[in-house]
Amino acid sequence: MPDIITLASLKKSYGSNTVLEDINLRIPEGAIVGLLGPNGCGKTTLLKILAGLIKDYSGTVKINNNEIGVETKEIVAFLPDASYLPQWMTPLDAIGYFSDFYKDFDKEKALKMVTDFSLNPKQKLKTMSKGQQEKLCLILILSRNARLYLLDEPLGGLDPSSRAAILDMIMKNYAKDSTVLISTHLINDVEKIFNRVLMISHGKLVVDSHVNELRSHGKSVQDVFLEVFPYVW
Amino acid sequence: MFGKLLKHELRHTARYHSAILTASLIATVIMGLSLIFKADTILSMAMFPLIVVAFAVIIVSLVSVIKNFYETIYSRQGYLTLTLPVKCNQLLISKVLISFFWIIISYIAAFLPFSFILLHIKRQLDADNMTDELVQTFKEFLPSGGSMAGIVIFFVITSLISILSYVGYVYFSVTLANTRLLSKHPKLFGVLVFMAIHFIVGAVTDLTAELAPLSFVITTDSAFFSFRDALELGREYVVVNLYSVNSYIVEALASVGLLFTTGYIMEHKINIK
Repeated sequence: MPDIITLASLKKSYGSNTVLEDINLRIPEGAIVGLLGPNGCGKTTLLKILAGLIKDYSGTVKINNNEIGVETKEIVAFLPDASYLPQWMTPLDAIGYFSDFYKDFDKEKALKMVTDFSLNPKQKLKTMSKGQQEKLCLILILSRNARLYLLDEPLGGLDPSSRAAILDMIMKNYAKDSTVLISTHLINDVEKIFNRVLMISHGKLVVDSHVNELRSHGKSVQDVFLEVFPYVW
Repeated sequence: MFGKLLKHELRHTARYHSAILTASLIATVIMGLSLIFKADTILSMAMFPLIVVAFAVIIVSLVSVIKNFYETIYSRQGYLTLTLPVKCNQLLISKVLISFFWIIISYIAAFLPFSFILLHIKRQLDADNMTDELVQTFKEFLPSGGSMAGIVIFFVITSLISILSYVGYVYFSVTLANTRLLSKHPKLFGVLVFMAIHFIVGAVTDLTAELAPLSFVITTDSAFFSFRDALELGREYVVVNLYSVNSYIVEALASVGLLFTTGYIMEHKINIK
């Protein structure tokens, strides 16, 4: 399968603080990748670089063989860790917005999901709960037939049954043959869906492995995580 | 795609202005009705609120330029705006154009109720003849025909330059204040950068005025551009007013340069928190 993501010698610092150091990575199309690591290890920074929200870095970053720009943003769907929609919008407004800008956006699918998930399409976001807003953001992303989905902590702050429901929603609704990159530190819940894991520690890529390979050694992803990050508490 | 950017930018910013513009419209209608029904009491009661509304309309439009740019690019909403599949310069230009639109609308909305006040005063003074005299006196001090058209064009262009410079300075100040170097105190540095730009533009204007002082001169006979100073012109003409063109040229160039720089920073140096 061709590579959808290519990173070469990627480095990102904030002043004297190096957040990502010498990241080299190739991710093929169709992979479901877990981006794991403790808080502050660089997961979100990596996703934001791929989404085009951080431009000030060194090294090479390519998506579908293109530098980050208009062409990559057309095929990348990014879900940040909290709602980013203007509070005056309603779900209908947000769907109209996405429909206008993204050729791959399926408006009918979005409207159906809004109904299926019991959201009021005419309710302003500022009157919705945090969970409802995040659900709407996820609906918008999953209604795109993107080539690459970047999901930053989609399960954060949710109870176990909600986490299971969100995971189910993601797995049922993302465009098949697309690549999904999920950052999380809730490994137990997501381990079963990954076919590849990346672990970042202090800005460096310390584990890049297929899940089957880990399991063939009799280890779960959780086991490897605890070996790599024994100090995390 | 650019049309869609304009559409959504207009929709997003309309909410800042709708309340105050509605207040201005109501004030205009009230003043218009009071003129038709000759209700002088309304005129005297409405003067102070009208002044407040006029100031509020303009202040809201100027503040919303800052607020909207910061919110949609450098706050949480930046995640939505900057992941759109559009070029940074298209995004920037759409914001500049819509900011222009609202500022111009606000100037019109601020002026409109006062135009009815002037008509009220004319009616109260029973001043048809008086008005004719006033207009005649006014006309004696101004050139006519093509020169008047030139004066109007000059004031329209300089007003547009003033709006462009405000928008350009604000966008650059907000952008620079949110780069890694200054992002620890973005509001403070944003204000300081804005003030610094004004200072630098002022200094460059003074320098160019020393070297080549270009003015737009309005006399009782004509309006024209001149490099001569006021004293020299005064010997030959009855000068009504003299406007330094240097400042407008420097402002226009600075605004365009700063907008290009803003686009460059957004394209290559952005770090959304």
